[in-house]
Amino acid sequence: MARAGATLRAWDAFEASGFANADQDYRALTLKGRLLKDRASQAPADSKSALFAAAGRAYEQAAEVGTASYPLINAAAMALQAGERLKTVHLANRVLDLIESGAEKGETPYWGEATRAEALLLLGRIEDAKRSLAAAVALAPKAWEDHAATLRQFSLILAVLGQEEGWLDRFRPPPAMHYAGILGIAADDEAAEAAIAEAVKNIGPGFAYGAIAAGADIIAAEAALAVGAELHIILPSDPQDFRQSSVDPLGSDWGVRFDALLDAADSLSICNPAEQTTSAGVALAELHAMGLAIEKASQLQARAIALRIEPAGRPAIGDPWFHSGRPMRQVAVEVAPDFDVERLAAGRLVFDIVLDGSELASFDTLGDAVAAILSAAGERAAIGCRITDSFHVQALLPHSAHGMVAASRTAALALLASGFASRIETIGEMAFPDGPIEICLAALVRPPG
Amino acid sequence: MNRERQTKMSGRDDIAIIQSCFACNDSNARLLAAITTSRTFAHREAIAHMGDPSTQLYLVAEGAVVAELFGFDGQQSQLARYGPGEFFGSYPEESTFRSGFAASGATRLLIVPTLKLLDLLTHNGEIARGVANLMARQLDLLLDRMAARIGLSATGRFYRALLQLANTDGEIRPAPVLAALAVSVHTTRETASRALAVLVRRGIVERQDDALRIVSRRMLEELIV
Repeated sequence: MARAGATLRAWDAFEASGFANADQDYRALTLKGRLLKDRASQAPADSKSALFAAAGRAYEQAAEVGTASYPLINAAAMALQAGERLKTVHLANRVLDLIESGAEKGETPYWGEATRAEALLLLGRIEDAKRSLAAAVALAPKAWEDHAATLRQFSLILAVLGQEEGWLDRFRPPPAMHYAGILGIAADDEAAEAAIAEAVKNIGPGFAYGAIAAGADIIAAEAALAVGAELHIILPSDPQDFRQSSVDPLGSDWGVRFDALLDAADSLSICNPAEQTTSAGVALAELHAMGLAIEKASQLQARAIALRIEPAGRPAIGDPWFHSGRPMRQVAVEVAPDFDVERLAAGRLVFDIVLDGSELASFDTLGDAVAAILSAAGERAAIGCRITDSFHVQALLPHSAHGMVAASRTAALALLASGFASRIETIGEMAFPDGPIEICLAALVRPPG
Repeated sequence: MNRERQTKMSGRDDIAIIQSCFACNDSNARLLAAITTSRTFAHREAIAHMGDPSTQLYLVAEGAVVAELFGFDGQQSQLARYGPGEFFGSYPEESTFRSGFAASGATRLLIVPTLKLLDLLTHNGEIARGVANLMARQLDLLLDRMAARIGLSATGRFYRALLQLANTDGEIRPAPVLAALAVSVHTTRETASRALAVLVRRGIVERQDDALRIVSRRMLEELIV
């Protein structure tokens, strides 16, 4: 619940379970500190300090019964937020002693040094904190999720200390990139390859998301690998089916390059393994890929950037990314003169919704589906998307909670991609006769524009 | 909806998969392996047709299998899907296939003749208990499907299994065979491998010679969703 952002309900459930008075249970006490901290962050100004102080007390109690450095550094940060400067200094010094004496090493090598950096920051030793944070990052250069948590925390501390936070940017993870473009680039179009490689180099992605159709996709994916990015391939259908429809007909060595990328990829997601490639399936896979890029960027406190590879002047008007207002880089390319490939079957992409007390309703656009949910303003709602006749959205409805909409993971990613959700949270997996589906909660926002 | 990658079928981990799925010791796993064959199927390849004699039990080691039925009107409908660690076929008696079965994605099956399995179970309590556990687990999955209950995600199940395998010092020795552990928690080797890579990258788990060590239990527990 806390992860889903349902702070008050999480606190109610915590109290109802009898954990609020558990003063010898390390896990209950650290969770209590976290829940009180969440409540403080959302509380009106006049009650923030008291809640931060209570969170600090819970963390201090936890330090008495278990590993001390993790709860103590949180207690020190809470004291700062509560305006208790002397206590902050006292607790931060205790943490420094624990780490520097070797009494505690931190939960992982990164967290040991990052905790030291945070203690130094809380003591106002900003230059020392910078050096210590650099050392922490060097210990686990790819522990991006942990770096992101530290950056969030440092940003809050610097705000209270009245210090600028620009220096944190050099510790931010690289951007997540979504790439897409046209099929019809000639395999020997060196100018297009160079322009795409240059654009990817300028973005400097750490993570790249997209399909690997012949042409723009394959060139962009190869360029992403060349700059050291993780490659996450999202296909609408089984790789062999996709190859037959969107790679092999273009001839040349695209098929060989397709296979090489499949081997080099960090992950491969197939949206509809049992279906043949259709335009609707491609559109759904694109939404899925965009959502993954945005989700990754959000988790890591990084930027999400789109790369579009199209003939000059082609409008981006139908591109969900364009409407979300996120940054987009464009590379203009020319369609090969002999480009001729059979069009994919159209298929149909459908968005289903169910509201409390209503029948299932289906829409051809995600915007219309979201508008219907928002206008109903009901207690619970669920949304799914499909290109087949098989729908599961009714089964999702009971899991809608805390003012959030229950959604299949692909629908949730589509909401994120289109700017219709500010946040999504995976809550588990549900078994269906045609395979398991990951379920998310999504916080809807009014459609842009 | 989100299927993971299915490639590079290989039989080298079969003993470990059997041991993991049937929760049996190495010598019993080898007894079972002696009557088991491994077979790979390409995407959409038929495994069995409706009405065919069914004389074997099939355990999905990699990929997935769909059970499909053609109605009187010629309409094809999908009855069920079997993922890693699930089984189908006949037991305890030979019978006939009530629907067609086809591979979904590149798929590898471990196949045991029904009557040979029955004979082995009659004399081997540990393997019999393993089969009972497998069947109970599959019944649970079926009930989950009917009850539309949310369970842990595939990575959550894998992380929970790692925690359960660790001793009090956080050590898992010998290091688990990922393919086998993946099948036992109904996911793919690729998902398990990626989930473990995240832990190692963040320093939550450390690889040692022939062992894994959980460096931070608390952080691993937090990832079980």
